[in-house]
Amino acid sequence: MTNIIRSVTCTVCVFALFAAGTLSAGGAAKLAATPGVSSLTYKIVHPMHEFESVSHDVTCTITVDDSSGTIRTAFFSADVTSFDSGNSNRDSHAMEVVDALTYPTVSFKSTNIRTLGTGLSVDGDLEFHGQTHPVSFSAATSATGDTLAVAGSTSISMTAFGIDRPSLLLVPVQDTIRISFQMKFPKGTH
Amino acid sequence: MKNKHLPIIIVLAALLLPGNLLFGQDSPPPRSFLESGLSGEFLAPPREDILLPPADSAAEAKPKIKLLPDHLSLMESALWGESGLMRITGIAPLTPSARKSELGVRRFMLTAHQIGGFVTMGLFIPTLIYGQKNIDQWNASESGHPPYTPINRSIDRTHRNLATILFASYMATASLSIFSPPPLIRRDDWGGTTSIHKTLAWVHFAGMLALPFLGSAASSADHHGNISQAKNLRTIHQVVAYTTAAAFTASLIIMTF
Repeated sequence: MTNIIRSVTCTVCVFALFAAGTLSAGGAAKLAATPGVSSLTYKIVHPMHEFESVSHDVTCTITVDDSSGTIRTAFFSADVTSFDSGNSNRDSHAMEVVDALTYPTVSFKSTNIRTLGTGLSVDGDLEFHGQTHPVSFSAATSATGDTLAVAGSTSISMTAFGIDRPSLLLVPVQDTIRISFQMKFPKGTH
Repeated sequence: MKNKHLPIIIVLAALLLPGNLLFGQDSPPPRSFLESGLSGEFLAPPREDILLPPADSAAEAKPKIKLLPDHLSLMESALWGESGLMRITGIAPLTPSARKSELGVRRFMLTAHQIGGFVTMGLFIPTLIYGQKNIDQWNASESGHPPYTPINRSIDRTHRNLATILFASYMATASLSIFSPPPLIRRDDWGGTTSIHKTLAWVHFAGMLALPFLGSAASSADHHGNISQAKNLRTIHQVVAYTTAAAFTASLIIMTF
């Protein structure tokens, strides 16, 4: 009997230790975006035409405050070879200019997120082409069915990230790249 | 006693430890959250989702890129494939740094290919104009009975010279694309502008190979007094020339879309 009591006591102690660790985390849950339905898109404009290239192979995680429901941190990373504009020759050209062999990923890590109603104001660092620069953008959150969606967009300068603008028929594209994202996080169950 | 209960504690700890490590300090086991600001209540995702790559830094998520695309053309395989000529001779070893330089060569060649395309397009115009003038004078000359109207040899010579320059320009331009190193990736995107460009290239490439032979055959038939055959060959040469020029122009224009 004593042995059983001691066993239970030990077990409770183990649980208590892990519970303490959990509570010290500050009540935030990490969510991973669902691959395939989440997307990261960039848009490039050339005087003759414009195109979008989409990656559905994005790793995105957010931490959400349990008590307030606000998003505390966000991180995403995408393999630059995963972007598809519907023209692999063009995508390959894009990989050449971003030096995909040396810098195979583009990633973002938030430094500050402010909640503005159902929207967010996000500041963070974008690592692209081996360079890290601060970027800020607005994002909108919405909950539909079993999904939490976070969408937003921003623009960056290619030359600021040390990228030589690609050319078509000897005419270079515009320096600004429009980046937009649509991240979908699964709704759990009780 | 210690020996008896230690295994129980170890088992419990082992069951809990992986979860705790996976959730990390910021992530408690699944709990409800997002109670305000959003319609509906969300829970932490199922365990499978949390087991996705942690990706807390770019370094962790860094993928390995394949140096060559999955599909290579015959020429690319022969020259730039893993056992291609450039690899076995050691001219271009298949390493990331060498491949990076190779992609620079590819870009240079494709840029030159674009310039060559415009130059060749420019050469098509006078060649076609003089070709049409030439065919008109030959047809006019041979439409009646002997003695035929004298042929202006200067027009004939100019067309031949222009055609020779055009052929050289065309082949040089084509070579820049055919022999260029392969891209990093190649997907099956049939119907895109590049695939139409390449399909049209088969048409104008075949035309450019046929044109000198047709022109030469027509000239030879004239030389041997076979007027009917010469006229037929000139007509075929003319149709092939216009088809080739049209396919070439279309393949150039399609790249702007």
